Amino acid sequence: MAHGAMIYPTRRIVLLYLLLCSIWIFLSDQFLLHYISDPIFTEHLETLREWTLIVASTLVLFFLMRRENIVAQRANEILAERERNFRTLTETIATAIFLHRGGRLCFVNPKAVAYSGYTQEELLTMDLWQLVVPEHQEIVKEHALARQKGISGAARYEFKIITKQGEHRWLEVTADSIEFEGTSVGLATAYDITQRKLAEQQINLLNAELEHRVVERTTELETANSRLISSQASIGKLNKELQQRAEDLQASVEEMQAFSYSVSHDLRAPLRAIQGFTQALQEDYASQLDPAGQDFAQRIVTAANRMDILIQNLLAYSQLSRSELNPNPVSLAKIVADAIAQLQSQIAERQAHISIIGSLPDALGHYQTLVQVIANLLSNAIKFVAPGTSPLIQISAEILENRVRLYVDDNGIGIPTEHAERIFKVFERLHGSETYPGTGIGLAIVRKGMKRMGGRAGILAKENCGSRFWIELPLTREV
Amino acid sequence: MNVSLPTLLLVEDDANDVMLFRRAKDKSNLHNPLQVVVDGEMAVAYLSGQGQYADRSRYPLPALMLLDLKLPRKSGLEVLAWLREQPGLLRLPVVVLTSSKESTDVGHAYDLGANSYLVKPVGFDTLLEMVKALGMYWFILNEKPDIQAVGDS
Repeated sequence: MAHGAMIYPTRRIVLLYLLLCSIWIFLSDQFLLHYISDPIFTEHLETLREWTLIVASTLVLFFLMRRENIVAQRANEILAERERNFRTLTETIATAIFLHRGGRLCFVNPKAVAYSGYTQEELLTMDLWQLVVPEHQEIVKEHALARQKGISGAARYEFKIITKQGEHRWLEVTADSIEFEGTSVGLATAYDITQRKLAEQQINLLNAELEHRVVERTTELETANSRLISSQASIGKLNKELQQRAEDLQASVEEMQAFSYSVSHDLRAPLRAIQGFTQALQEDYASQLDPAGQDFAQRIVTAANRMDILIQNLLAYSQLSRSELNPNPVSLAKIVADAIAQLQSQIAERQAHISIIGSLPDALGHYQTLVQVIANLLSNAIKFVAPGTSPLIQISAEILENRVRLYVDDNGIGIPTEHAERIFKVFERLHGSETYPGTGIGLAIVRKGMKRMGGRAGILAKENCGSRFWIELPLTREV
Repeated sequence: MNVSLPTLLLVEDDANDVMLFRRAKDKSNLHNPLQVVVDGEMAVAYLSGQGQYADRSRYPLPALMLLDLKLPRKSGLEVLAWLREQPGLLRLPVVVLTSSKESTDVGHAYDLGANSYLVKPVGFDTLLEMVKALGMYWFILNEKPDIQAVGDS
């Protein structure tokens, strides 16, 4: 390129000079030949013509050469500027630049010095791959040599170098080949990606940790799930057991029903026979029985009657537990009247006096059960009086918020407070059957019946003689 | 004994109860002839005139049946249910006479068409009262329906 630029102006100058001189000589010859006839004047003019040629060609040569000089000087200046720019560029660029011939470094920029930790002088005595970590050396070498032979073009890859201080550094390298000082050399531009690599490693680490945590959490979730499933299973099992128990309960209730049915039917049949035939004995064979025999027969009849009452009361009590007692609005006045009517013969026999104080309200209850409950209370009040006393009974009612309390007061023998709860239990009796005959079920029926209707029953302490029993019922359905 | 008096059929498996009933009936001067069968199948056989009961001069159709509920072979309720499906027999007055006071039994008996429900009393005197009342009500006061068993006519 430099040669072409030098040869071309020189040839141009020579050709231009030759052309101008030839034209001048030709034209001046033609002029002298055709227009000048005087030989002396012609000689003068020839001399002038030669001098003019010399002056003119000197001037032309001067200007041409000066022009060429200026051009060459400008070219040099541009070159110098380019050289300067190249230096500045390579010195200030943030990229490391390595040039190598067959691996041996022939140019490095300050960034390359900074990256490698070696001085420029040291680097220029080294091969490129001496910088590279052993595990990447072979690949770098192979690629660099192949490129120099023109086998592969520009490429970009990452490898690790070891600095003079033994530090490891990741570089991202773009490799190519260029002309340098007249020959083709390997070019490697590189920048430090150690931070990026570290960040990547960090990210990888974090990712791995994240993945680990996800796995961990998934495992925890699975464990929790399996626990949930097993607790569901155990709930299912409990439900099954509960159902089994409900079925067992139902079965035992049914058994109980069958039992009481059987008692109701079969237990009373022999009683009828005992009672009936003893009475037949008393009627048909009275003459053959002495007074002691007749007394025995009478005792058999009495005992059989007692047992019948006992069985009937027991049946009534067990029926209370078994049957549904749906509460309905009922008139307490009517129920009390019914109960009194049921006890008519007993009332007449004992000359009892029953009075109702005030009016009796309506309440929520089961009619038949309430009649039985009140009849039992009244029957007790009539029965448990001191000998020779005629029973005086008072019935009254009181409304307590949403409940009705019915009181039965008597002038009987009373009940010691320590026995106040015992008397409501089935078969509990405070007196021998000789003094006050009974089965010990009457008050148990009262309490059970009230409880089954959503009510209560109890007894209040009384200062003077007598007892005060009470029963309580809901007034209306609304709470 | 007046042979033209309507017959009373007692369905009862307890021999003691049968004896006591007979005694009460005799004592209450109820002269109607009494036939006794001891289980549910016999009751059905008697009413439908099967086997030995085909002889209606010996075993006439009753004007009233006293029916225990707890019986061998066929329960009283089953006999009642069968009876109320027999054309000609379905009007036969039936009085249940049993030990059970269970409300379910009472309800069932009436549902199946019992005309009355009585509980056997333990005291003989009460039984006597009951038999007297039975005779008075069902044989004297009560207007009897036509009863004609199928195959009997």
